[in-house]
Amino acid sequence: MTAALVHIHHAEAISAAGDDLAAARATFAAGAQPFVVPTHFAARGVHHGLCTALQPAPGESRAIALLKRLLARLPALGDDDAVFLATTVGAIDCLEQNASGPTPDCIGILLDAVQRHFPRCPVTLVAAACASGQSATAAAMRALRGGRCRRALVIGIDICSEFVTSGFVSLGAVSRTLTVTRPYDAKRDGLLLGEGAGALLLSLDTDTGTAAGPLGALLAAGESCDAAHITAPNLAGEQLAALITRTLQRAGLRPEQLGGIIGHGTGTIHNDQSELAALDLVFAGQGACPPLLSIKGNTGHTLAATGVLQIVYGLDFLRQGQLPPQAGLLQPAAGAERWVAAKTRPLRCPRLLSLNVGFGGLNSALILEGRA
Amino acid sequence: MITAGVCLTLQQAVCLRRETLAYDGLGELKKLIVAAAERFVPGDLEDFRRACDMVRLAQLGAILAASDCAAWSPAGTALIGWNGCGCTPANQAYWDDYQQHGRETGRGMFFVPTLPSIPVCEAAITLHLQGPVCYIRTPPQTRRLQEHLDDLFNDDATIRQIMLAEIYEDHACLLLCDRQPGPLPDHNDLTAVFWQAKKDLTP
Repeated sequence: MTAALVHIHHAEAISAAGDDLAAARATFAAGAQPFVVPTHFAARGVHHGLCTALQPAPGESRAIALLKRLLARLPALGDDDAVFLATTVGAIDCLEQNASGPTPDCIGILLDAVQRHFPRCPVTLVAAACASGQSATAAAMRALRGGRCRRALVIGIDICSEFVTSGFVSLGAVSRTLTVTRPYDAKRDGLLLGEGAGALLLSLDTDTGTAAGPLGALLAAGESCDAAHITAPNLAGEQLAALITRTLQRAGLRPEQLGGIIGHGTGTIHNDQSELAALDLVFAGQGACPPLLSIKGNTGHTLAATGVLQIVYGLDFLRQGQLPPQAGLLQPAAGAERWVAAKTRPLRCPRLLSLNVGFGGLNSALILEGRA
Repeated sequence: MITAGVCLTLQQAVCLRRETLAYDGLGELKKLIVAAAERFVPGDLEDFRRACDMVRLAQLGAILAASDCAAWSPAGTALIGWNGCGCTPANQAYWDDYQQHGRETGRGMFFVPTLPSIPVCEAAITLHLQGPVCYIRTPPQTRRLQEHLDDLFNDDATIRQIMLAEIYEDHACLLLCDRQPGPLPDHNDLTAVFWQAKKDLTP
């Protein structure tokens, strides 16, 4: 038996692709890679996907400024609503600016800011590395289905910082080009980081109080752990494939009933290889595959925000009935030819599979349906 | 209901059902476990040597909690990290090291643990747990954690038990809960839950 649909009533996204959905749509359609070198920290020439409209006040945390910009666009919540916040490092710039004194609780600072904005709602922080966005969404879906809240607001947010960039550079994960990232490409050599914030207002109720109705629905979500290596994914993709299959079953769907896929697609050698292997396992024996896209070619890797952004932008792709060209793609990696393309492709039907993976071997799969 | 658990520090591990272990540091606790492998569930401790104490507490605590369980199976086990000190100490450790190196190069071994989900992921690797794994932070009320447990059990029939982990720099508490009725007693942390459960078990 499939679980109740979770309807999406409001969706917002801020990223390098655009400060709003209309701007992002143009970025995606053009396959643009709007990466620049940050000036708010010493990035040593590494390009990032920045929210360029963001202008923190002097001394203000960039994370708090980004959060405020997002919160200003969200509806008010009531006593019977709940908030789920996804972040990996929170207001990490507070640590960077902290010359002395006790270590700031960077994720707590962001959590407290959300709680202050929604003082009547329980706020839960969900952290599952780069799968945090979808993991928080899955937690919100469970809370709604469990009758714990009438509406659930999911927020995914992370910023570009010296802390995170130096860390990813230390792991050899950042593209050696420093300027471009090429998800699913034969010559991909790493990721570029990005920052972003996204939000989804969810409810089991279809009534939005407007004639427009819900923007779409979440059919099913699933999570698993490779339990193999703390930073490297299972290159054979077995765990991720098993999770996708289970999530499809929970949605009452077969693989061929997916219209398209938004992959995690960081542009690192191993992430993309693992993900493609998983998709090959799920779609083994199938003729035509649904089109695959990574938004990180346009936004950079926005860490905990990426899962929420994938859903928000996914809703827009569903509305248009097509996936935009894969940004950064020159020549698909071996085996990726049947999945990705540097051109716009129609969706086979109004359903998307969205994938996140994260350090710790964490996997997340989520199925999104467009408005009928 | 709670089926097993452990509260451990850098010197002592008190299990819900099994005997207390005393040791001088987590390196010695690992040696105790390896030397008496037949008395503990098998665990992958390959990452132990280079791990910080929070990760070590999670890894060894997971083995001890699983070993405390009368019918342990990694299949269908989810793992939730809750509250504790999150990633704050790891953030400072990475940033200090980075600054000491002239802000030229960070070190991955310090960077990876800056994610608050890393200790529970390391525990999942140790026990080969392939269920959902994440870290959550709520106000310090176990009833808030109970809601997440109930939601996870209700949402996924394949989840048979959930391991809960509250981890600090120098101590941790890990509990195993199955689907049987019996909510967590209302406390502010898992350590208080553990000691109440231990008291309830004492004849």
